[in-house]
Amino acid sequence: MTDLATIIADAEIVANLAKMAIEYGEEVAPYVQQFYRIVVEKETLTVQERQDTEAALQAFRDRLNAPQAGDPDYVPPAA
Amino acid sequence: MRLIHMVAIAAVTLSLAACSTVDKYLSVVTQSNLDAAKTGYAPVLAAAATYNELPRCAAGQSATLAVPCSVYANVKIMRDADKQVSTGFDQAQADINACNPGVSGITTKAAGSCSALTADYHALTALIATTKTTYSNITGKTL
Repeated sequence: MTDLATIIADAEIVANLAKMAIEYGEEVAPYVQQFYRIVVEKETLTVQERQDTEAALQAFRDRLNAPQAGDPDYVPPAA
Repeated sequence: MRLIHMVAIAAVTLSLAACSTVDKYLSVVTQSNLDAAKTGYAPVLAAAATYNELPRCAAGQSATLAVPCSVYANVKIMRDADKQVSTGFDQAQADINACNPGVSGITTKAAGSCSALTADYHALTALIATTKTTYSNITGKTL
């Protein structure tokens, strides 16, 4: 049986993620739902879902690493 | 006769202890644990990506709710933190693949891999917690 501290910790994480789902909308909703399924409903992700999550992480990472004009790492497109 | 009985009990006890150790390795960290860490981190990373996409603050400008903006130095901190988390995910996945939990007849070498997995996974979750705090402090949002 899961101990109370773990239940509370998981609930806090789910609550925070739910707030983020409200704030960031559909782009993060699938991962909040997956997290809930894994942690609370004790389900296992399919191989396809796992691959989709990897792809989403990479897409978010690409957006985080995208430079803006004026940044030190910005390379202007060739004319 | 009594000596044989004691040796048998000792042997059973030792074998149970060995099984318990292997079970511990198998049950501590699973693919689902790592999946949960990744799905839990995805919204956090999305928040960091959204921050990077805000226009950069002009010199002397402070971000406000009405006029949000981002600071390159903060973005750099977020990128560096994420690189470490990404490396941690890769390492934990490699450990899980090496440990191959759930397969019977685990070898001594595999048990060692499971031991590495436990340590690497705990390091990863600590790193994610630190990264969340860093991102929260920068974005002003609870992540």
